[in-house]
This record gives sequence, structure tokens and C-alpha cells, in this order.
Amino acid sequence: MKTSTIHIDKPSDRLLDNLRNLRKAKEERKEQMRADWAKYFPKK
Amino acid sequence: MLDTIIPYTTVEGFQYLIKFTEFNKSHLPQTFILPIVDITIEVMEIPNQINNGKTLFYFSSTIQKFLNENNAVLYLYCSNDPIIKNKSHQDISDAQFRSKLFCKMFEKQNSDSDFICENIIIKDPNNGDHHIHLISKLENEIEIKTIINDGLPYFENK
Repeated sequence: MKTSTIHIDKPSDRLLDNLRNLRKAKEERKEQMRADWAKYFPKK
Repeated sequence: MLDTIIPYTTVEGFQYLIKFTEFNKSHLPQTFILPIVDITIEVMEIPNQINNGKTLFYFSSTIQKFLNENNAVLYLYCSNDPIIKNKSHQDISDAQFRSKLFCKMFEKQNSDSDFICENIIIKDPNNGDHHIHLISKLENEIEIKTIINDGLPYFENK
């Protein structure tokens, strides 16, 4: 197992904007997962 | 497509969904050869306790199994959703704690195996730092470097 860490201390505005969009897309995906929850955990 | 959802119920009865979502290739630089797959782990009810070792082992095993079955790069963005932290980690953000927890569990299980885990920390004074992990087989190390150099964090997962 190989691990390493990269620090981006001065990100561009574009990078931060896109990360915010990515975070938003992730939240939307989570909302959809929660909406579909019963499909994967049917009540017995 | 490599999209899949895996349901999991912990011994304490907490329900999780582990979702793998392949990034749309048309949005990615052409220099990316391997599929890039987002992994999202969602819980219906936030546990009132720290996840036990068995739960973390299951998550780690699921990721390992996916990478053994698919030649891909996994992309894990650590969310800042609330998570129960132990006393020694109260001063760090939920995203950072999630990142540390993930590293620890994956390293523990794969210390002798041929995986690579690249951690990317991006400073964001207004919204909290972003913690991202790229995970793949060690043989894909060059591909991971290409993804970092060509700016994986720059695009949206649509």
C-alpha cells in the first residue's frame, strides 16, 4: 500500500467554484439515494 | 458503466448505502484512460456512536473488492456531514475526520497489498477544506498522477 498527500494551499477561484459544484452534485446524489432507500431496504 | 449500489446493515442496525458512480467520460480530459468512479457512502440515520471496526472493515472490503474486479480509479470526496468523533478529534472538521478514518481503515486492511491512495487537501477558508482521495491498484500510479496534473478536482460529476 502506497500513500501520499498533496496540499493545495492556494487554490484558484475556478478550482474552488468547481469544488462547490462537485459538493452540490454529491449532495444531490445523496438526496436521491435517500429517496430510493426503500428499494434497497424493503420493510419486512 | 460501473454504477452499482450496495446496501449494508450494521450489527447495531444502522442502514448504509454504498454507491459507485462512474464519471461521465465526455466531461473528462482525454488523457484519462481508466474509468473514474465516485464512491458515496450514505447512512439513513446518523449513528449515535463511532462506527465499530466491523462496519469500517466492511466498507474497506467493499472498496477493495470493487478495485479487484474493475480496473478503475476511485474518487472519494469526504463530505462535511455530521459524524460522531472521538474526544481526541473534536478540534478537526467532520470532513477531515472522515478522511483520517478512511485512510486508517484502508491502510490497516491493505498494508501488504498493491494499492495506492493519494490524498488531496485543498484549502478553502470560506467553506472548509476539501479532502479528496484517489485510490487504485499500484500499477495505475502514473494514471493517478495524470489525473492530479490534469485537474480531477476541476470538473463536476455529471
